[in-house]
Amino acid sequence: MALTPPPKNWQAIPLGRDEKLWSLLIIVMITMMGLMTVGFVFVGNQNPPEEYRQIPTEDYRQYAIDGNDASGAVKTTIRGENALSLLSGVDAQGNGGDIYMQARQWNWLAPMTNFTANGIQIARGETYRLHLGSTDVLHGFELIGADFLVTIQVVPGYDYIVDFIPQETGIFRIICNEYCGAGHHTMFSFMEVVDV
Amino acid sequence: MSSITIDKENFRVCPQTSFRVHKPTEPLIIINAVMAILTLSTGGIAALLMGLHKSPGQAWTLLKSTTAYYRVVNIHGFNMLIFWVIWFEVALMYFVPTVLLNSPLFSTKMGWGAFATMLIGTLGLEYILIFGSPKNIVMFTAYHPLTAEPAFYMFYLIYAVGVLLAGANFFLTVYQAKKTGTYPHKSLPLVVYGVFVAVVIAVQAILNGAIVLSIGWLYSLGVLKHPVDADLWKQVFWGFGHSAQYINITATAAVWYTLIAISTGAKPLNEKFSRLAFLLYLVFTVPVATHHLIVDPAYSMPFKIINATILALGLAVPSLIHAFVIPGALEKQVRLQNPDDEEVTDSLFGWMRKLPWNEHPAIPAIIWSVFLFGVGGIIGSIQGTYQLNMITHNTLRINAHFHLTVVAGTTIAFMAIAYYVIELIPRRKILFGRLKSIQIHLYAIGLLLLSGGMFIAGVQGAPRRTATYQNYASNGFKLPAWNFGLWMLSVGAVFAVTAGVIFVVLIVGSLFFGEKLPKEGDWSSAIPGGDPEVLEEEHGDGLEAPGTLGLGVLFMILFAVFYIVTFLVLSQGWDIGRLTYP
Repeated sequence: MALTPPPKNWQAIPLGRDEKLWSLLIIVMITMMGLMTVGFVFVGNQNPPEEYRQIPTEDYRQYAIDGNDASGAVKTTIRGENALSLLSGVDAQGNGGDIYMQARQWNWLAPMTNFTANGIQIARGETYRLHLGSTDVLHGFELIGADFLVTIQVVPGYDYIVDFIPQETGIFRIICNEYCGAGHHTMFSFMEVVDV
Repeated sequence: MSSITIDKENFRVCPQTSFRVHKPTEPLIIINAVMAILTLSTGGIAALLMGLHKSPGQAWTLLKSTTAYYRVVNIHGFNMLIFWVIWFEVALMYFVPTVLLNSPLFSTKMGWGAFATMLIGTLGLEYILIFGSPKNIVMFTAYHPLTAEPAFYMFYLIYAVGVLLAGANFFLTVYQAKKTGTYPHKSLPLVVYGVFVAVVIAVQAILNGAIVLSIGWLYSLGVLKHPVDADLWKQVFWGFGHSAQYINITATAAVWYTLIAISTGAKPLNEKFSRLAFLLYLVFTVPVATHHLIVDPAYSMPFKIINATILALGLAVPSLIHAFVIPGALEKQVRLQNPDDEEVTDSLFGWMRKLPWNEHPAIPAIIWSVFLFGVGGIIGSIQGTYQLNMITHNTLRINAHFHLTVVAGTTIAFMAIAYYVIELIPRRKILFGRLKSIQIHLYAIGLLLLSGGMFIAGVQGAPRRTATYQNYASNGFKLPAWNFGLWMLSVGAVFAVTAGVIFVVLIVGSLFFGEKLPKEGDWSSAIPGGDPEVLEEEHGDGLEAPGTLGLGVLFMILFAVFYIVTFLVLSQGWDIGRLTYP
């Protein structure tokens, strides 16, 4: 019994057939899972973004403004809301396609020198580099409404660079999915994907 | 063999189990268990309010504001994840070594000191959570630089110091039992060994916690002018937050072994196998925390893959071992006891019907707890996988995982053992006979609905810890079809809380009004300190637990299918991550 001293020779008692079979199953399962996840890094098209830069929290807003200005984004209006539009993605030289979003209590913003957008407009099939950073506490980027659900942590002090290709047209919600204070549920934005 | 000095003054022999019980430790066990029940009740009230608030459109809510919702989430998290489980584990830390090692507690004074410290921490923190400023609503995670008032960190740390004191008392009791020879054998009983591992994990968890809470405290006080690196803080926090859940899992496994022993006398299939599993918890828990940072910017891909996924897969191994051994041991025991019953010998699952379902709440508790824990483990392994975390992080799917593991797994097991502790320590019979078994079933069904609802809504992206989803549906946007899952969640919460109320009433009612059972047993029946037997090898040609193995194979197939299907779902998504530019 597990409540009393074990048999004196417990270390010498070999595993029974049941335990051996079960161990084999565990090993097979774990190995399969390990191989799948490591393999998917190299063959899969959906992996967590790996690129980041450390930016002091207080500098992120200006960094985002400069970045959006440089990427050639323009102002547009979608359903009565300001949006930042960038319809061309990364070019053959690996330049462009950068969109900077700033998360703060309790908005998602795409700031430029002349205006600050609430949402973004991008083109289907283009490759983008979406920069996510926070100017106060932790936030969570989550896209809902599209066929693809994605959730990324947004951390103050970092510019997290998400390379992605939107593959579905429509207008989707960007929400915050990390509790960030009393107005957490009022923090949302949108992403419109259009064909050009 | 060293002789045992019999201290009849301070010990009694339990008439039911023949174990020696150290009388001055008894009030400590009871008071810690009572604190556990009180904090469980507080967390349970919060659970009901949250569950009703989560109904689509907040149709059933009793809360007046979104801030009130965040406040109850905060109250629920701390009471369930910190207070209920740890108070109960401290009760186990006193109960297990004293009774099973025939030993007095190392120091009852230290025990009362730990109690007073933990009480101050609990009362201070409860006051802040329930009545304090909304600034203190930072959730269980309390991610820096989101900062509460200084008192929040202070009481949290005071509580942690109390737990460390209780842990030290546990280690010293085990040491004393070995040194003075009240436990003259080389190896500890399996259950003591399991709790020992749990307390080691607790110590390292609390040390990690002390680091991050101290930083939070200093920042809150203004001593620290600038926040520290938020992801480094988060990494160390999970060295506490996740390890704390492995205290629960390890203690749960120890409780499972206790429950099978007291309900049917079943032994583990193989001591070595089960001990190895406990040891693996220790080996893998300490380094594993990064699966909370898979979609965080800091840390490289290889680090995330190795820590969050490969080592975390290793952490699944001990749970898979225990979850097989526990039902397997029950099956083996029934087969040994009924060698001529064709209903048992000629069928794979006939043994299940022979288990004492109604007499022992341990049986429904073990079966539900192991089963739901297993399902929660599958969900957890999936969301801890490097790529799959990207479609699960911070959705209600995460809540489905830990409500199945910590609530269905740990709490059901703890509820069942609480029924036995009441009958063994204060020696009161649990009221209303079979109701305790029915309570376990009702609670488990509630959790199945609750977690099922969370899973269904979470798979479609419903975020956790969000007071209302209605705002997202503004300006012509439509919400995904979350409502079905959310209704299920609310109904499940009502079921589970109802069963929780029955549990609290049964425990507290029995403590005061239960039939008094005789306390003093016959000293001649006391478990002697003699040498344990030498076990002969007795494996036959066949399997000892074919039914459990069959269920295990089925479980693994489901696991694999679920895992692969989730990868297929992910691979249909937009290209993201490691892209090569045109």
